[in-house]
Amino acid sequence: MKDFTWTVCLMTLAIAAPSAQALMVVESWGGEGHFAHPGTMQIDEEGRRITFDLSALPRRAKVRRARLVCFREAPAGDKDAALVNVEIVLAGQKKPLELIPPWYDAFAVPDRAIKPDQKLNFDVRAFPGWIKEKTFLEIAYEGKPANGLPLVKGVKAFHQAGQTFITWEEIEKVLEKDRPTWRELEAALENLDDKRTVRYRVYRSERPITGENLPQATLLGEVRPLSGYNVNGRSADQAFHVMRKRMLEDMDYAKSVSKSWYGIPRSAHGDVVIDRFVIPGGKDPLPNGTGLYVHQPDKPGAAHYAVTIVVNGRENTTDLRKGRNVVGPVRETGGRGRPVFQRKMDMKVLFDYAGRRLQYVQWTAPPLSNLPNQYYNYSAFVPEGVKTPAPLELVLTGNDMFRRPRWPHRTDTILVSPHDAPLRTWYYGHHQSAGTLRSLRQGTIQPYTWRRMLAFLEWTFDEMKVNRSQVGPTVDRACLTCSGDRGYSATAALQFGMRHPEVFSLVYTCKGMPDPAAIPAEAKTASWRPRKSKTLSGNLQKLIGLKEWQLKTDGGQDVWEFFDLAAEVAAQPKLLRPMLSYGGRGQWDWPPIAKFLQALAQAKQPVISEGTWGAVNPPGLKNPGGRRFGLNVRRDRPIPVFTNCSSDYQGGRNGDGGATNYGAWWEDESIVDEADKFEIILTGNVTVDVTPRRMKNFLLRPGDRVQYQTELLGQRLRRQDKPQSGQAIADENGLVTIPKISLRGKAKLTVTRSAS
Amino acid sequence: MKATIPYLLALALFAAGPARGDLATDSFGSKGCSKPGTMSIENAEDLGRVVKFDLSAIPKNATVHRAILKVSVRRRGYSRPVLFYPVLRGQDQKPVRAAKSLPLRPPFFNDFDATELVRGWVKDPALNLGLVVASAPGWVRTATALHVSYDARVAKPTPPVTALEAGHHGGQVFLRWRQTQDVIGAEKINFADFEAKVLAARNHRSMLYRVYRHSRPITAGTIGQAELVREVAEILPAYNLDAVPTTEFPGKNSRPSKLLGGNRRLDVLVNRFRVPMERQLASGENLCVMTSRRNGSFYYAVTAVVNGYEAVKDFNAGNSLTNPVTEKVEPVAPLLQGRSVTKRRNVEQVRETYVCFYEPPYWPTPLRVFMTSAYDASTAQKPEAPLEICTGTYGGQSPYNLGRRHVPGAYYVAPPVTGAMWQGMHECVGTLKTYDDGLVRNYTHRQIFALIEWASKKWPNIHPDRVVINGQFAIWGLRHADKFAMVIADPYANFSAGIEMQKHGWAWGAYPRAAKNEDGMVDQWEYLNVAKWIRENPTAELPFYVGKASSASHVGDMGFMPAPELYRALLDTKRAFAAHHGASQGFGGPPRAVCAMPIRRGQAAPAFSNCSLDDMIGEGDQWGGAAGGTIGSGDPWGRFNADLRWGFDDLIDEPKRFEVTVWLDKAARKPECTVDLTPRGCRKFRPKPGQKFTWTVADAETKAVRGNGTGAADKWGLATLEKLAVPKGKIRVSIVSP
Repeated sequence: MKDFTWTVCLMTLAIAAPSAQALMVVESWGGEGHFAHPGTMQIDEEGRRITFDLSALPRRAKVRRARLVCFREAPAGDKDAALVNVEIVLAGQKKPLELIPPWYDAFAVPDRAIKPDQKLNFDVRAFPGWIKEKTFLEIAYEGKPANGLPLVKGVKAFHQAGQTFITWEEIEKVLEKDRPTWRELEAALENLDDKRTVRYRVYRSERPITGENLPQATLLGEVRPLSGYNVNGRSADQAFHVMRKRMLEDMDYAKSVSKSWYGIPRSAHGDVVIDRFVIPGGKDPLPNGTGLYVHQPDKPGAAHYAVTIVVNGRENTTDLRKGRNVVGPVRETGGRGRPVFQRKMDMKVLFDYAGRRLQYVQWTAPPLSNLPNQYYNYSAFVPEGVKTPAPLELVLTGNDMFRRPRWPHRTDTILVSPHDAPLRTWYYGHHQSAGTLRSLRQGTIQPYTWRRMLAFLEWTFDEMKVNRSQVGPTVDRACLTCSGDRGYSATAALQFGMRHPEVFSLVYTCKGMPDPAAIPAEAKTASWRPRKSKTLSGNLQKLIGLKEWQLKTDGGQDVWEFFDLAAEVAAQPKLLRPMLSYGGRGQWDWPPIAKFLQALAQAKQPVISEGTWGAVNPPGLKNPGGRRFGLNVRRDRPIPVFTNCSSDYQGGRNGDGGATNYGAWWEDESIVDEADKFEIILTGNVTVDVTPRRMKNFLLRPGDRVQYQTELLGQRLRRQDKPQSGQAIADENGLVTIPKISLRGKAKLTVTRSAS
Repeated sequence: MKATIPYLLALALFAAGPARGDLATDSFGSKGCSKPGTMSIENAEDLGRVVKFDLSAIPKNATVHRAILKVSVRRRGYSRPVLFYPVLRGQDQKPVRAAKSLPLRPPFFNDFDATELVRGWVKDPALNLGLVVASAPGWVRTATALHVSYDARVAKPTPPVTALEAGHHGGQVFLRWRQTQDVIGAEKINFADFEAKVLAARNHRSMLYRVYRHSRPITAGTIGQAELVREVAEILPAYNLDAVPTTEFPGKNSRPSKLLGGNRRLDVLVNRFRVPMERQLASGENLCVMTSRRNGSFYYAVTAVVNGYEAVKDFNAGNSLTNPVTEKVEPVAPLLQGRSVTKRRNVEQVRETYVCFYEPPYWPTPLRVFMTSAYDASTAQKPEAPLEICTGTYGGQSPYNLGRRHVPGAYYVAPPVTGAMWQGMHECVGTLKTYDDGLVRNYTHRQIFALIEWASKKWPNIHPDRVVINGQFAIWGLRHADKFAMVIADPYANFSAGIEMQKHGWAWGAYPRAAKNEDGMVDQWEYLNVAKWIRENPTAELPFYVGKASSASHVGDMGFMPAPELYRALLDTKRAFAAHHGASQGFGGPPRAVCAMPIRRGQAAPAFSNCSLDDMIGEGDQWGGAAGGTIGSGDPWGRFNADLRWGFDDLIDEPKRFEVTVWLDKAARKPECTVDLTPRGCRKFRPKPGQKFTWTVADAETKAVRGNGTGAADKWGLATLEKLAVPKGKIRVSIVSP
């Protein structure tokens, strides 16, 4: 949330019991800069003491609240400084000041400490990354606000599915251009405070808001100008789009790009056009010069909202009128919001899949994000002529290309891709302290992104429509795939997909890490000139801290242990996971993968893998040139789990790769699932153990006996190929494994319950 | 009788003996020459660096026949010129720089002609004020020498060569002679011994042979007027050293070669070239091959140069031809080196190896190219046989390139990839010229055209309309519908957007700029943007294009960006093509539709576009994606029009009617597809823009009409049937314009 530099506190001031009908003056004391009282703050050379000269405060001012607003460059998540709590105390006091929720970006200063005509001193005990000169003290007191401050106009509110969208006309158009590029917008954002500082504050109350009762209203938050722009939505594929177009027209540019192995030039990122939000109640983007704040109330009811302006540290709390800067009552329902359709995206320069690329924005508040008024972008690709309910594939991309994910699109499947920005969360989540003044010791690591993605998927199940005439659901809930290409996103897909068997039927991953803790943070990686460099695990440290810190998840578990999928699978053998298609070349980092594959086999989980040299694709991925169109696995159908396959191996030609169940598959339509009989046609040229799972009717108890037999249906049978038969006993989990079935191209396996 | 006159004249000239004294050539320089220590360099005020040669060893009043300044530079590219200006005496006797620099000597432009200047210096040594080194990037001073040939009384001549013989074949002159010393001394020798002997000989003297040409017999009296046409290294030109295999790493039987560079196999026999003469080369014989540039009869003589000194006293039939060589300018022909017949795929296959000796206009400087051909022995009996020129893959050697393709009844000729990815080369490359001196010339294309002419003569049953080019970088062939029926190439249709291509920018100009191409005088990078050319010339008919991804050529290293540019251009302008795209695995060859090369030059064909079975190639980027290193924004592998077939024999191309039978291959993934069909390459069916037409689609067997309708030709005069449903059974499509 850097772009918004929230400096807000949530504070219900009713406790303060102000005198009736009194207006409130809100002013700031700071150093050099745009403050109401500039030059009134001093910080000693060591940065140990902050002193404010409050002589400008009226002698008899009744202070209603005060807060010390601070800024910092947050330390990286793998640096020791990230563990250090920011500690500031009133001079002479012992107890550190407390951060104000929910934004945790300012310290509450006790009213009693504010004394007109006196100097107010703070001692700074610890503050890694502190940007001293931006610090200021804000005091709200009873009095007559200064005249001549501008007023906000055109405040509107629209509620949808638990979220209220408050908009207003900003006091000036910062950008005249209707569709600015990122270069123009970034420059505008950087220079916003050059001439003066302008902030908009959003208040909420259950009563109509006036200047007099404003102190009793809840200050929800504060936003900078240009809040109507979807700044976080910019992505590398947009920059690529710009670059690719220009390459066609400008050969010198094409040469320069090609020379650097097609790295997207900075200029292309700058040329990306930044759109303004589309919010519920409108089809077009917000008009230029419109501010936006999205509030998610805790409970249903009616609410009133007001938007004030703060110019150079002085808030205009006067002239609050309904129809101008006050709106309400707004009927509010409970809920966590609904993704809002933004636009149909044209991401084609030369070729794109036939279909529609749709952009959505999901606004969030805790627990889907650690802070209120957050937003996240998604894309959905709807293939031309797709039949609903359609399978859905959630594609996670590690290259900031969510609008047109670099992943083969199936033409029968809706593809959803979330944007893992502005914070790269490995599509998992992050510490509660992100974007605040809290440290990694204050709070836990929470799966915010997982929660958001699950919420988005829920919406696709329940509400998403891709055709106007559509009656039934859009998504076939039994057929969901979670995919990630390599490294970052592969790990994300593996961890997310395999832990959500209630959602996904299939997971594709190319070299995802099943146990990041097993990989050292640095290693000599294979290259032309091998040298020690940071591994994926090393990069993960930036998000979840060093292993030895043992930071906790919201469930109280060591986060590195939490990510050990092998342990997770072993702990719950009864839980059937999604089918895993694991691809990737085996290298020095293969042993934990082998361990994970072994854990899957022991827990009788469906998996297919190929990890030899040159094999980077998950097996079975869409590959039309090779006449493959992707694996079809459903969550509502029985599945044969293969283990002990004759094509399995560990230890390849160029590393410790391997293959698991490669070449064994089944014909889904052949499955017979009856109370006393299970039948399936298996394909491949291997010998393999088969454990039928997810049956609805052929249910076994531990110790139940079954008889089995095979019928060979292959075309090229040898003399020694004979049908097999025998008996087997269900294990302690009620699973029966039929050993060493020779498929010889195609074989029908029939399992029947023994009479005894 | 006429023929005997020159011969008698020659005899008479020999009998008369040297009329004007003997010929001596001294080389003046700092070292490695016959007069070492005779070159000095000083910094002169106003002039800068001046190089001076002490020519006092040349007798005063000696007649100077030739003076050549040899300069070696190590330039990065050819942007900066190499300029040596004579120093003259100005009006006030002050040394001044001449207005013009020394001219370069054609045809190879790798040394300077200083004859007139040195004549003046010898006549009046006071005029010898040296040469201003105005520009000489990377100048190697110690390799600089002034070679002066002059009349002299030679007491101790350099040993003469013997057994000089000449022949003319395929537009080239072949000269052979016995060297003054047989440094090899064995008819058969392996590379290790060969290298050892050559290096040992080089250790104690430097040896060179000069080849002279004259319209009259060359004698001591005429050699001064003869043209010095070539300087030939000792023995190496006689041996086919290109055939000594290279290895990626040194090993048991290979090591870095000082003689040839790279890791070379030591145990292989090195063979001498086979020459088109009655007798083949023997040990101790050297070879010079030159391309004729003028029709006529010419005499040749060869002399030896020892340690930079050449002294010729006597010419006789052993070192100067008594009969002229009658030369004819014609496309150069490869020289057969070997032939083998093996049984492969149950048929007898002939495999031949060749060497080509190129120089302008086929390459800026002398170049030797080793190549192979292959064909079934029975092909000679086949009428109208196709010819495929296989230019292979990046770095691929000719036999490797050839090994990938075989169509029964076709001839294959496989020259290796030469120079800058088989594209043009600036004529300054390898010379002392700069990018400003000339153009990018399509040398390699010219080589191909000459090969086609040669092949058509060698195998007369080749049909001129069935010539196909197949190569990773053969996309340039699309500009030559007059030559090729089909172009099978990787889709590198815009070199500006290719990664590896940037490394070759130096061959076309001062990268990222380039000089103009001789073909149309357009900027070379623009010339290499075939996709743009296709877009901008929608009415130009192209050879049928087959897009592929060459195997073993690091497709990803080249970059995929040009691929979608080409396919978009082909689709938008409705050109006939079929393609595979993606990484190379499994897709080395063209789609089956054209494997047998049935397409003929100038024959109409249905151009398919927007086929519902086409896969998605994406934008050519390589980020992420499923298949590492392949296209990220599309399918990892895929095809265009690959399952569509049409009949060649029953295609009708008449002024008002176009008919073709089309169907979908049995292996197609769906029973039917939809596709837009546009007649292309028609000789007769050419509607005018906007002209209405009617169409009918019927079952080819039952004649039952499946559909009909009307349409209008587009702005390019192309009639397109949109969304034509094509099943696996044959259908007959008829388009009629009123």
